[in-house]
Amino acid sequence: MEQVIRVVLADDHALMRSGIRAELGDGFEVVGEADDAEGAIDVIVARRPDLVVCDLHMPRGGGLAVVQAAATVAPIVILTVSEAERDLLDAVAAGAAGYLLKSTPPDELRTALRRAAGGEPVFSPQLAALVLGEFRRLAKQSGSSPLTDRERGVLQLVARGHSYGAIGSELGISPKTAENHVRNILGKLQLTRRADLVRYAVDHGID
Amino acid sequence: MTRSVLPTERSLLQGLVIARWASWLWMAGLVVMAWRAEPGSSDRLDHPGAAVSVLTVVAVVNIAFSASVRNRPTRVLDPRFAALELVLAWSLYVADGWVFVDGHVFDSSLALHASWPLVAVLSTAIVHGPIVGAVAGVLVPTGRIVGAVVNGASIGDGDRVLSFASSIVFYAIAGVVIGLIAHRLRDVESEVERRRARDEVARQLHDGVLQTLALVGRRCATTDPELAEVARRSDLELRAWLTSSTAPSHGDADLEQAVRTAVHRAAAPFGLAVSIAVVADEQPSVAAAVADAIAGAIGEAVTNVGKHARVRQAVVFVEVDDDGQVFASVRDEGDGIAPTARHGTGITRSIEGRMHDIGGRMAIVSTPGAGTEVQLWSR
Repeated sequence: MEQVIRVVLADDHALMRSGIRAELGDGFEVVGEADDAEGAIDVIVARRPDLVVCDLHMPRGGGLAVVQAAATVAPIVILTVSEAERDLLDAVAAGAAGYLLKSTPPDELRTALRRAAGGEPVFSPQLAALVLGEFRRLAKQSGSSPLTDRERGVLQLVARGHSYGAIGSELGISPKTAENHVRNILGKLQLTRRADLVRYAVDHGID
Repeated sequence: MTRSVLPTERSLLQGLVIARWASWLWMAGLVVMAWRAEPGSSDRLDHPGAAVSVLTVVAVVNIAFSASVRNRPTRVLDPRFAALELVLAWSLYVADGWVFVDGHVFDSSLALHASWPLVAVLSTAIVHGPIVGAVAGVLVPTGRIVGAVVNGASIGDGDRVLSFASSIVFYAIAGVVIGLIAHRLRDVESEVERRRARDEVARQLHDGVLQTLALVGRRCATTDPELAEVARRSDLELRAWLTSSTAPSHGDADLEQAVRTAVHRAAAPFGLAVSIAVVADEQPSVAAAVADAIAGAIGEAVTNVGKHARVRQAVVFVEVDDDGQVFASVRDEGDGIAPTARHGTGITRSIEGRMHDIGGRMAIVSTPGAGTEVQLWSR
């Protein structure tokens, strides 16, 4: 019997929250709900869930604010209607565990959330491509790529729709290693973003 | 005030590039004929060296104009450019009187300047508007009068005055009309820009609709699967429309546009949800033929998925490298293609054909039961 996963849902549409709650079923327990960013942060800190499912666009800060404040407390999966958004990349760079489209079918939603709760990055091909593009920009700016060739290869395979298992067999590594590469890539994305912020602060005389 | 050259304006100027060179060829032909004209003919050259110099100057201005329109259209906007052209146009009339033997101007039906002065007036009108066009149209043909004097003709009699006046009126009208047309075209073009901005607003509005569709899909997934399916399809359609109507924020716009259109067209009949990602930098851009071939091949691969893979999702990935070369893949987690059935089917053949046409190649990686990936390389 798998452990019940304790979830906090944050979405400004009550109907959406109740829809997701109904779909999650037995394997999940909704321990808290919020309809804006500040409420979500409060409830996450108070309930310490195993997983947070959070809308990208919400009043008072949205998903990005929630990730910035609470990503260290629990893995946060961003729910969104559109995948090609810069704010999505910002949320992931800030430490979100991944994102899901709101139109994701129920069974896929459950599988993805279960994996996210287990610490696996929920990384869609679209998001991988966004990150790949971001690293290319960074490499152009600095003249050297922050990613190793292997990491770049893994990222491209994710962007092409390969699972960690498929990537493992393609590259002759274990699925776990493939997953670790992705985790490292996300770590580097966060680092470069943070470095950008520090540089910005220094340039603009902010202590 | 700085302004840019809009695409329609540029096509007009490009049309005039052709007219310029046609005029030049005519002028060159005329000079060659004049060289061989019999003594006593009014088409005989009095100053052959001057005629060749005129041809050379016009060729240089033509080259400068053609190159500017092609590479740096904003240079054509410089008023000094127009001034140079108009002075040259005026001088061509004078030259027509100077290089030929006396009596040429009114006795011969051939003229050295050909239609070059008119082209100069028209392009001035296009770039600087109807008023400047009209002024240019009045001033340039006055060169004819000077040319006639230089040619030793009397200019006082009634017919000749009428002839001068009619070219002035005709050129002035041409300048005004073409100036107005160019002006109108510029307006239409800015209107198109404004519409594009409105579409951006529509996108914001539709985000709300996407939210609702997702909601309907969620709420009805178990209670009313048919309604949920309708919502899902509408969601796909709207998403495809949104991405095709809004320009991508970076990267290769034409390639991405072509790929999105091809994928949407191929996926719609099967209700297939296709995630599309294009990774590209601002530069370099992909050749149109390559973009078309890649988009077409991707479209066929997606059709293949819809027909045979028995899945509802596929992933399209396109990456443009620093040399403008493209790698693309279309992947599904469907039935897979047996190695024996891989080649020779109509669709794989036509994908292969498209790639060969641009000097590229393709590969299919497939495990029965574990999905298929069609890989495309532009080189």
